[in-house]
Amino acid sequence: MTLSPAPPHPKDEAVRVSGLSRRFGHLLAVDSVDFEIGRTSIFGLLGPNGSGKSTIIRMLCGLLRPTSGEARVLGIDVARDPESVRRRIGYMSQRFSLYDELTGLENLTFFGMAYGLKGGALARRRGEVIEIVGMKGYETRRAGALSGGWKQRLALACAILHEPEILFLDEPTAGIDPVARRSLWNLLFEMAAKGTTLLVTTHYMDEAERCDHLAYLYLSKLLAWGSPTELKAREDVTPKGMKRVEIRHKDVVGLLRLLQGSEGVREATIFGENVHALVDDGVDLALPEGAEARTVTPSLEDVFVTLTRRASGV
Amino acid sequence: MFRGLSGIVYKELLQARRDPATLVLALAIPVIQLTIFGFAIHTEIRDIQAVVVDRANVRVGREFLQALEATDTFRIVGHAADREEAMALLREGRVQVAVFLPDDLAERLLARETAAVQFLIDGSDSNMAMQAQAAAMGTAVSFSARFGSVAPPPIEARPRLLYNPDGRSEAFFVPGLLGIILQLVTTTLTAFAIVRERERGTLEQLMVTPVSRLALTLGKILPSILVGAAATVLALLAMVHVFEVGIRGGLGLLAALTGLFLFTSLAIGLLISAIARSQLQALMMTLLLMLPSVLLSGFMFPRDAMPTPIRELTWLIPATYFIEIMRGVVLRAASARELLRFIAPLFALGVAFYAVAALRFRKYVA
Repeated sequence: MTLSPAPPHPKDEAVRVSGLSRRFGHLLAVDSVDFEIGRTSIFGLLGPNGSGKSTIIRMLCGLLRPTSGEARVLGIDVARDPESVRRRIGYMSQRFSLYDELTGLENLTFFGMAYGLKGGALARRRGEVIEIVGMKGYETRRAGALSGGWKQRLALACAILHEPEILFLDEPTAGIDPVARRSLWNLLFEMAAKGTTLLVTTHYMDEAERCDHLAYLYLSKLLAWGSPTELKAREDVTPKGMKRVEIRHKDVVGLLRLLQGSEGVREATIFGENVHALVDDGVDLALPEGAEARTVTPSLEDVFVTLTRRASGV
Repeated sequence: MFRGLSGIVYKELLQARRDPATLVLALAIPVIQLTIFGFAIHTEIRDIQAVVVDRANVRVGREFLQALEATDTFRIVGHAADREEAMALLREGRVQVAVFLPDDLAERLLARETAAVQFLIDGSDSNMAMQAQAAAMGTAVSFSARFGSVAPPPIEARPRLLYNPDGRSEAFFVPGLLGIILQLVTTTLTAFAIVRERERGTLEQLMVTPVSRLALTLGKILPSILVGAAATVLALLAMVHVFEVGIRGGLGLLAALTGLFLFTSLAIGLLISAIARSQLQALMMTLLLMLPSVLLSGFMFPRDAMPTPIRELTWLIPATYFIEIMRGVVLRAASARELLRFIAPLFALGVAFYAVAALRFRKYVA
């Protein structure tokens, strides 16, 4: 290992991960993952539970050392110099990890001090973040007494006090109601618009649609990464000679059974009131009465379902 | 009334099995402690350490000393040249009894006069002092009987209690109790302070801030030190004013040495918090350490009465040193120099605990 300064890096790169792996005993939690995140984007890290999302985030924040490979954040090798990285990033963990017996304001003061903010600067910044997350009037309540959505806002406020260049959010919307989820996302968009790079893990597809770039993890491996448009256009998702068809019918379960037994149907999945099917070109589907079919571009869920099926060999 | 009981028991048993560390602690604590304490604790006093000043050095004197040792109550650990030296040994806490044979022992016996053997007894432990006193007088009586029934008796024991002339048990227990309380408060506070953060997930949030490990550790300890110091002052006030056990030694020395003990107790707390994964485990470990500190440190039962291997083990317990120090400063007005053999190892133990805790911490986080 040499101690020479890090090589110069392109200015627009916030995170670069190459060959990143982490092993816990016999379990390979992250298996040689590569991706890059440009500055000021919302990067979504998707994947089922246990696919390695949190482990990657924790390595990027310097909480865990990689077993092999490298994680660079803002051009700095995190394993080598976690201290310099910590000043410039924010982290919001999966579970609420603030002090329940302190009020929102006291939590903010504490984390501000932990980041070296003092006196007037601390007070000003505290006011700003309360404004940003919109929790004015709630800041004097004990954190433990806040509901899930407000807790998340407070956690976000604590994570952005020191104006981080990158914000890591590990399932920020897990366990909060849809309205709170939507308003949290609006906050994230505003922050991205103002120049913060965000890395968000999620398993909600609607949240994935909101990201500029996505990486999809499955069984510790990175299956795909790119913009949603790029992912939907992937040839291994909709191979040549096939098309995605959306079929609307009142009995979706019956329709699914019918399609699964039909010639030329490669895949069929229920999406609410519709069935999405991957069908060979030129096949004439024998559809029941009242069913309407139309060709569509694949949704992200189609993309991930297809990629997952392929990866697990189904 | 008992609906669902079996289900709850089933779940509790499964949970206990999934947390083997706590289970082992719960099962091992009673067995280990029972074995050690069962062997270690004897309330009858044996082997009280004694020093002898015997300038005459005549045969009858040596025979008397043999008779003293034959009672098993005393063990003569050395000879001192004069009174000064013997007193210093008493103040240092190396011996609990000093035996002075008269210079004219042989002449007096020949002249059929009574020879008085003086016993200076460290009265800190009133129970031990009483037994020493009784054994000294008993030995003198039975030894005199060897000369036939003559009056006045040829040999007479003149015991005198030092430091605690009234033989009050408060003087013995209260200074030691102070050490035990101090350890309980500071160790528990420190052990829980960090384990609680780990259990709640706030430790991880702290770890992503630029707060250094040292700042984190010190920041967690400082409040415990304040609480510990306040507890000490209150306990000392109670000792002096409620129990009327006056402090004979230097207050500055007492403060400094209490600080040293706080340092060591905090180190133990840190070590526990570096090992324990949950608050329950931290509690078990605190208890595991607390019992020997109470039972084996000499706080309740004299260490001299313990079997040798266990007596040697008690030197690993910080409270052992601090209780010796407290009794030395409070009751015997001992100086730092006289207590050095307790101060140095106490400091070394503290440093060792810190080192192990620091190593464990580094492994734990990142």
